[in-house]
Amino acid sequence: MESSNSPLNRRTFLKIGLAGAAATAVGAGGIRELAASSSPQSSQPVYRTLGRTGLKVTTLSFGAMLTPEFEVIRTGLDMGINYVDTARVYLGGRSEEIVGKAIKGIRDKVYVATKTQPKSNTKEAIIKDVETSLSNLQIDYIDLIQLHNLDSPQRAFIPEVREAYLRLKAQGKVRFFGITTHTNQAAVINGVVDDPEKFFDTIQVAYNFKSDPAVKEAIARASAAGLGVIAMKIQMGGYKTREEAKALTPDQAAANLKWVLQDKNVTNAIPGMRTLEQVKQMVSVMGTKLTKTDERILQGYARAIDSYYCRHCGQCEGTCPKGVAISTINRALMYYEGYKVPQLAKETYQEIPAQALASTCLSCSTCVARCVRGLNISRKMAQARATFA
Amino acid sequence: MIRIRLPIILLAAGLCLLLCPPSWIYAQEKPLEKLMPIPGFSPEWVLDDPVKTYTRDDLFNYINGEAELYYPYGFERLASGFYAQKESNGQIGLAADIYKMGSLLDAFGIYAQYRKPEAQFVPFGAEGFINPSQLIFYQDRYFVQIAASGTSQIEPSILKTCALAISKALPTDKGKPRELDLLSIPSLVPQTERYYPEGLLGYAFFRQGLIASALRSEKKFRVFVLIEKSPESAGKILDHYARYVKDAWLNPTRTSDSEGSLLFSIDPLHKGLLLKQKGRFIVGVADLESPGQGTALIKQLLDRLPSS
Repeated sequence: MESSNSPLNRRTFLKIGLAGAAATAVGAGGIRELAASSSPQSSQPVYRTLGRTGLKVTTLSFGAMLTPEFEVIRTGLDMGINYVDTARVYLGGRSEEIVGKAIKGIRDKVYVATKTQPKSNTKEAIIKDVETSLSNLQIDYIDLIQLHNLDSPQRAFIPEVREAYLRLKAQGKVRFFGITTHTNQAAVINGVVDDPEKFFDTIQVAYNFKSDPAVKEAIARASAAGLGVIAMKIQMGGYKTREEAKALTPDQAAANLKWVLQDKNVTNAIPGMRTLEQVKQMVSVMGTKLTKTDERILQGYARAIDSYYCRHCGQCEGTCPKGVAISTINRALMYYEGYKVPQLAKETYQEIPAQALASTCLSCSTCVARCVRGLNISRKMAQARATFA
Repeated sequence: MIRIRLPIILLAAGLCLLLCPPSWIYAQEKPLEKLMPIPGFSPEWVLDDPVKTYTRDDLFNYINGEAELYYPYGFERLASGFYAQKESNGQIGLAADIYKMGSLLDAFGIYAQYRKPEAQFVPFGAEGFINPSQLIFYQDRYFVQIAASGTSQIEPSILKTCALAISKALPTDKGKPRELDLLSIPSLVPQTERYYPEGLLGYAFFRQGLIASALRSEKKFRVFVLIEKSPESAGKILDHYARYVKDAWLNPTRTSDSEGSLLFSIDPLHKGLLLKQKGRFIVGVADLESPGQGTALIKQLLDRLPSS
C-alpha cells in the first residue's frame, strides 16, 4: 500500500516563514529547512507499510553509514524522509552518534533502525550492543533492531539471540526485529519466511536490477508473508573506486532507485548518501516511475559494468604468452563470487595444470592478454591469486 | 684507483642490501597476507584459519555496507586473520585486519573516521588508540584494526602484543601525512582532524580537503582546507559555492585582496561560513554567528599554507 500526503506542506510553510528571517539571523535548523525546500524538483514523500510492523515509512529512506555530516542527514529528514538506518559497527559507533545528532528534537517523527554487531550471538553481547547503541543515538528506544549480516538462516534461529531480543522488547528498548543479509541471500530470506514463529518482522537485502532472480522471488515470498523488505546496495557497488564513483552519474543513480522501488514487494530503499546533492537527487526520485529513458540508462549502465564480468568465451587465452587458463580461472571466480559455492570454485581451480594457474602471471611485468569485452584480465588474475591462495 | 674501487664498493653495497635488506624494502615486497604474524603473535594466540584476503570486489562480504566507506580512500586489499586463544578452546579470539589503502593520507583518512578526540592513544604506527575490545592504528599506507571476538573486554596487553607484531612487519612508519600541517594552528582541538577525499561538509562541490575542530574565545568552530589542483579550479569552487547559497535565497558577501577572494555567507547547513582563497587552496571556518568570529582563525590557517 503506497500513499502520499501533503501536510500543509511543512516545507512550504517554512519556506515562507524563513525567507525573510534568513537574512538577519542564523537559525541553523530553519535555514537547513530552507535549503531542503530550494530543491527544484522536490517531491512529496511517498510511504509504504513496513510489513507487519505497520510502520508507514518513506520509500526513500536514509542509509547513514557513509554520511559524516549530521546536517546532511537532517536535511534529508527535513525533506520528508522518515526512516534512517545505521549499525552499531559502522565507524566503531560514530555513525550512530552522527544519526543521534541528526534526529535530535525530531525523534517522534523518525524511525530509527540499527543493528547488533555481526559477531554478537550471546544474550550478554546483544544486550550490551543495544545499550551502547541507545547511548550513541541518545534515544530511549530503537524502532527496528536487526541481526547483522546473516550468511545462512541458522543465526536467525539461535534461542539465546531470540531470548535477548525479546527481553529488550519487553524492556521497551526495541520495538521490532529484523535481519540483514548480503550473502546467500535467497536461502537466508526463505529461512526467515518459513520460520513458524514469525519472529522477525523485516529483512534487509542487497537488491538491484542485476540481482539474481532467486533473490527477487524470495523477496516476493517475504512480502507475501508479511515481512517488510528493505533494499540496500541499490547502486550495485557503483562507488567501488574513485573512478567508478565518477562514472555513476546522478541519472544512473536515480534510475537504479526507481528500478528497485517499482517492485512493490520492496518497502523502502536505503541508499547511502554522502552529500546534500545526492540527498536532493534521491528525494526528487521518490514517487516517480521508471521510464523508457531510465530503462535505456540501466541498459547502458549494465553494458558499462559488463567489462567486470567474464562471459567465458575463451578468446583471451590465445593472447596470453604464458598459456594461463584465463577463462577457467574466471569461471572458478564466478563460482566463488557469483554462485557462492567455494568448494566447486576450488575444485575447478585445482583442475587447472600448475603452469596455467593465475600464479604464472607473476612472471610477467605487464599483462598482454586482451579480452574482447574489455575485462581487466590482470586484475581478475590477481583476484584469483588472492582468492585461491 | 677510484675507477677500480667504485665497482667494488657498489658490489659490496649490493650484497649487503641483498643479504640484510632494510626493513622497509623487505616489508614492501611482502604480499599483504604475509604481514600477518604466523603462526601467531604469541605462543598462546595462534591463527585459527589461513589468512583471508579481500579485494574491492568482495570487501562487502566481510564488512558489508561499510565497504563503501573505504573505496574513496583508495582501498586496495585487506588481509584478515583470526587468532584463537588456545586455553579458551577457540571461544575467545582476536580478529586482525590489515587494510592496504591508496596512500599515507588515505590511511590516515580512514583511521580518523573511527577516532574520537577523547580516545586512549597508544604508540603504534603514526597514531593509534585502544578501547576495551579494540586497537586501531595506521602506519604508512596501512590501516590496522584488531578486535576481540567472543568477549566485550580483553586484556590491553594482548591487543598491544598483536599490534606490535603487525607494526614490525609493516613498512617503517613514515609519521603522519604532511598535509596535516595545514591544520596545525594554535586554536586546533587535538585529534579532531579528518581527511575527506570527496564531499567535505556534505557538499559534492567541496572536493578533497581536511577539516578539524578549533576553539576560539571558548566557542567551538570547524576549520577546513580545500586542496585544489590550481588557483583557477579553487576560484571556480568559490564561485560554485556563491551560486549555491544564492540559490538558497541567501546573500553571500564577497571581497578580494591581493591574495584572493574572501567570502562570507549564512550556510544552509553549517551556520555562517567564511571562506578565503589563496592560490590553489581555500581555507574556511564553519559554525560562525558572524564573520568577525572567523577572521582570526582564517589568518591562522593562511599562515599554515605553503608560500608558493
